[in-house]
Amino acid sequence: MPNLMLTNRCNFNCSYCFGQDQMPPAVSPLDMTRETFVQLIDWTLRDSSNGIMVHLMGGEPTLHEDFVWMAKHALERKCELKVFSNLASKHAPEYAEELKDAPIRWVVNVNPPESRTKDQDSNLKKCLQVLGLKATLTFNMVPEPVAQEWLIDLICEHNLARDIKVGFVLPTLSHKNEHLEKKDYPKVAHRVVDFARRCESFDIKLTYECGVPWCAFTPEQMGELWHLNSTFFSSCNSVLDVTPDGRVIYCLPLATFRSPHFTKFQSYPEAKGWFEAVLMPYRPLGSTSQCFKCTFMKITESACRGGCMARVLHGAQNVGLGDENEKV
Amino acid sequence: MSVWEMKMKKYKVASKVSWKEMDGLIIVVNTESGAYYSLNKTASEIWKQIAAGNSEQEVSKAVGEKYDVSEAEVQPDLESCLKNWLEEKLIVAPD
Repeated sequence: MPNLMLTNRCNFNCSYCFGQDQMPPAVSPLDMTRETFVQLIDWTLRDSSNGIMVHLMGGEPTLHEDFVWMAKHALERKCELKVFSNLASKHAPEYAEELKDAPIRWVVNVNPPESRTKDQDSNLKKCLQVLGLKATLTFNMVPEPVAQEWLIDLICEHNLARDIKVGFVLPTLSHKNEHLEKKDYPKVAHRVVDFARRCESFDIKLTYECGVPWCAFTPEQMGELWHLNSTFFSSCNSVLDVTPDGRVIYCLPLATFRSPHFTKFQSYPEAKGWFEAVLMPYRPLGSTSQCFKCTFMKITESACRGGCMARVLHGAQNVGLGDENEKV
Repeated sequence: MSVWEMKMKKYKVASKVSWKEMDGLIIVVNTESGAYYSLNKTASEIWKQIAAGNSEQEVSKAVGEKYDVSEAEVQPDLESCLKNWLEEKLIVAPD
C-alpha cells in the first residue's frame, strides 16, 4: 500500500513540512503523469488480490489536474483509497463534491485558522461539510504552544470522524525544517495529554503519527492516555512513498536517503522488504543516547524503534546513501 | 616493523560500520553483523581520533591532552580498544 505523491506542489508553505526536500524550491515542480500512475497501480496490485489500500498524497494532491481521474482509476481497479490533503485548494470543493459518494477516506491536514487565507478557509469548510464522517483531521504539534480548540469545533460543526491524528513535527534528514527537539518533548507531551482530556469530553479520540519515542511521555502520561482511550504507540514502520517521477522513498523525512525507481522492484512488498533490510542495521543507533540501554528498544522493537529514523540517521557517519541508479 | 612504524599506523573504520556521537558518547553499529556497541568516555575519544584518520601516536597524544594524563597512561586503554575493535571488525589495520 504505497503513498503515491501525485504532485510535489503545495498551496501552503509550512515551516515544519518534512516533505520540503522533495518539494519546490528544493526540487523542480513535478506532477505524476497518468501513465506513471497507471503503472504504479498495476505495480501495487501485482501478486495480490483486490482490496489493496492506496494513499494519494502530495504536496497537495488536489492541485493535480488529473486528481479525480486518478482517484476514479484506482477505485475502478478495486483499490481502497485514502487521500491526504489540506482540502484548501481552489478545486478541492468541486473534487470533494464529485467524489463524496466514493469509498474514500480523507485525512485532512489542518493548521490553525490564522494560517489560512479567507478563500482557503472557505474551501476547507465547503469540503468538510460535504465529506463529513469520511474526513479525519490531522494536526502537527509544533514547539510553541498553539490553541487546539478549533479542531474540536471543526469536528462538531461538520460532523467529522471523531478522531484526530496527532503528529509531532519531525525533522528531515538534513534537520533544516522546523521540528521538535528532544528537549521539547516534555512540554509537547503535556499539551497532548491535556488536549486528549478535552477531546474525551466530546468523545473524540487521539491517534498518533509515527516517529515519536515512548520516552516522550512519562509512564503516568501513558497511563492517562490509555485511560482516555487515546493510547499512544511508537512506530517507525513507514508506508513507502512514491515520488511523482516514480522513485520509491521510505518516507518524506528520508527523501534524501535512498530512492530507487519503483521498476527496480517486482512489487510493493519487495520494495518494502528491501528498505527495511537497508535501514535495520542503523536502528540501534537510536535517536537519543538513552536508546542503547532502553528496555523498550532491546526487548521488543515493535514497542519502540527509537523514534523518527531521520533523527536516528542524522549525524550518523558512514551511512550508505546509495544513488539513484543503485542496483537492487 | 619498528616501534616507530607501529606508532605511526593509521587504522580505519571498516566500510560497513556506522557510528554516531550523542551526549559525548559514541554508538557504533556493524551494519553487516548487526552488532552494536556503546563506548565509554575514553573509548569514545579514542574512536573519534581513529575515525579522524589519526595515527596511534597522535591518538594517544590527543587523548592524553584531553584527560590531562601522559601518553604512557593512555597506551593500555588504546591497545585494548584497538585489539577489541579489530576482533569485532569495527576497524581495519593499514596494509
